[in-house]
Amino acid sequence: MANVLKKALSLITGEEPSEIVLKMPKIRPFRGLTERELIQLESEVGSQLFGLIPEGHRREFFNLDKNTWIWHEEHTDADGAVHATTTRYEIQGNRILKAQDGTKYSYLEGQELQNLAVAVQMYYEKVMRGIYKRDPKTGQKLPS
Amino acid sequence: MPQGTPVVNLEQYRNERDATRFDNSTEIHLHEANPELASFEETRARREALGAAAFTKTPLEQEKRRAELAVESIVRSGAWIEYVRKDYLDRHWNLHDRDAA
Repeated sequence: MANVLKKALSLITGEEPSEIVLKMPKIRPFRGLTERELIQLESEVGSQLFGLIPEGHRREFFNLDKNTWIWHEEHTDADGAVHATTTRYEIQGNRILKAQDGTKYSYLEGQELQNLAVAVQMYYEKVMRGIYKRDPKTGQKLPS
Repeated sequence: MPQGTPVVNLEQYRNERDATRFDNSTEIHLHEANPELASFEETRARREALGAAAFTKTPLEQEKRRAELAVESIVRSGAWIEYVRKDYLDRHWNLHDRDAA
């Protein structure tokens, strides 16, 4: 394709192709997103599920893979120190293991389990519809 | 820092929510090429059976079932998200590679 353009340009300008510099855009306009970029998009959706994020705080909530969900909270205090908590929810058979900062482990139960289930369901609906353009009820692609 | 799992702001979400609300009783159209998703049909039938029996059980048993339903919902959502993400990557990057070749 570039050769054809070079040839066409040389015919128009009368210059040899070697003298013509064609600068093709490095990033294609319709380039697909990477997995990391998709997860970042999902996380933007997930971070908004729990209401307003206080100023100076950062929140992430996303599905890492089919068995793992991540919730991350971070803020900087008045002294400039960064405080962060990362919680990993792992599906283990018919239970959900909650691992906080790699030090505290417990199985979710009661209201906390229901809270996670609601959050995941909301995330699922919004991500399916908003990012992947699929009907959350059927999984089928939405008409564009 | 917060320790407990955050609670979804339901009021905010309800305001945004459209008529296509997720419904556990809705049949999922299965992707035949993905046997893992096919198992959702079984879990749906099981959920319905559990739901029907819930009125005859003790509070403790009902709580146990609520927990089972919650975990199943989380499992299913995760499986679907992973599936559509991979589907997106396959479609976009395979097309991209084909185009480049």
